[in-house]
Amino acid sequence: MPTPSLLIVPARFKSGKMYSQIPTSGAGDFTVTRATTATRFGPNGLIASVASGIPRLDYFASGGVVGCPALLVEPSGSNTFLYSTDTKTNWALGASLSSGAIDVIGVSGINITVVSGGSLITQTAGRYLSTNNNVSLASGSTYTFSFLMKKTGAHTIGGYRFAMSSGAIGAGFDVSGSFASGEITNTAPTTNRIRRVEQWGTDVYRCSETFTMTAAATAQTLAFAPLSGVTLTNNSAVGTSMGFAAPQLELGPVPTSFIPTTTAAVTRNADVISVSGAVSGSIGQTEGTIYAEIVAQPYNNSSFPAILQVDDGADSQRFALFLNASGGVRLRLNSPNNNIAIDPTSPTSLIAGQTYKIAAAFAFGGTTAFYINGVFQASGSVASGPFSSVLNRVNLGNRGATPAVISPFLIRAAALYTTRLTNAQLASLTT
Amino acid sequence: MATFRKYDFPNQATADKAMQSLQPLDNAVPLGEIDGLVCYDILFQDTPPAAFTPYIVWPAPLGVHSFLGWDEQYIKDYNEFGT
Repeated sequence: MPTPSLLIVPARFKSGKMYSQIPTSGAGDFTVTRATTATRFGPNGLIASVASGIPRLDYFASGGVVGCPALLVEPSGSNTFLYSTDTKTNWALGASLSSGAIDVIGVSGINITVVSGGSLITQTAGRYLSTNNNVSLASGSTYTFSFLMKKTGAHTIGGYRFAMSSGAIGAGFDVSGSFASGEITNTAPTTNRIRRVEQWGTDVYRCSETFTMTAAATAQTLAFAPLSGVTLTNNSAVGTSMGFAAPQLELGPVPTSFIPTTTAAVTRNADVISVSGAVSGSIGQTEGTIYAEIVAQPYNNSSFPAILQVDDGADSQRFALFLNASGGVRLRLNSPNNNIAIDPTSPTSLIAGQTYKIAAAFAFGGTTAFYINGVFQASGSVASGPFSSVLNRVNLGNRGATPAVISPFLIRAAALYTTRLTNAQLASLTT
Repeated sequence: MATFRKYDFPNQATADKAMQSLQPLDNAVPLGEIDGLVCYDILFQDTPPAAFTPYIVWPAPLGVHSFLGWDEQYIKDYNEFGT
């Protein structure tokens, strides 16, 4: 197997910089730009703040288990839910419930126990209600509401309900392992509802729901409660409990990392990570190979975000691994004589939490091919080259457009080669 | 050095014209209309372009929106420039 011309396994960094292992000259070191602080999972498995400009090495890299870190790359996001780390200010506890403060992987939360039967999350007595809100939601826009649920006993089902200026939206989530979910309320002007459950540690789960507004409305009050079923508004049995923390309401089709808020909505800037200039020798002008190992996250596949892209500094001539419209990996090659897009065959879409090793190669006047986890995906012929502009920029976790097109990813490693690896080598590299 | 500023524009067209001078890594967050004005919070990667100067406002910290980690700096700037 040839030695890569550029190799980065995210580990060493300083503010504004991620160091590549190869080359050792510094020519392949990545510039990291994010002008806000942000959160990540630290090595202790707890959510913690990272200063602006510092790359986020996230230690929850494989399905909710603390392990080797991966580089967390996300688009900009805003949490419009106020006091997201404070589950006491402006919250009201129903008479059928009791509560106690708990820590939920580093975020202060609330444990709610049912003490009297017969109440519903739609009733004052059966819910823990926040009046911190009044968030304007625009018609036609897509939003995602996420929160953490912590199993504090044997019970496994809890849910939320947003009362809006017009109707309400709510859902139940079962974190027993089957990760079932369902609608408990659907009278708000919403459509295209998508729910997810992701395990984020022992007995802690991020639950989220994405929805698109069909008319403008205001999200007014938020209720949490332990529920008896994922489609039921009834409180669970007396004595059962569930913990809640980190409510986050953001514009966009996927949940992103937790953004703490107090008296105002808060925005986290995007992680823009790239290297340009002297890196030009890292990819061949007539042939080459790119490789990435990622842990897939809930993805935003609008505008074709790149996992790894080598380009001419203008997002024009390029060799790249994109997400396609189905959420699968797309090989992309653009040069004066080529406009190639090849989609995968297995898997045709990525699954959040799963690890993927992806390698793609090309040779002008020859062929292109790509593999995922050792499985041949597709190949095609490539017309003559070369690129008419020098490929002198490498974008990690973003497509070098303006603004940068980014979908959340955890990146374990990336590499470039100056030659087209054989198909057998691509299979070996991704196995 | 990044800079966090808040702006009220008389209308969207004026805002759009000013936005043409943004740099690629600047992050402009639209806050919608407040009291009939088109409001934006912007985190500039560097110094704000002159096109924005006439529209700067200094609501009492933190207003309705902030950037993560910038509360303290905004309060300092508010005390220096906004009061």
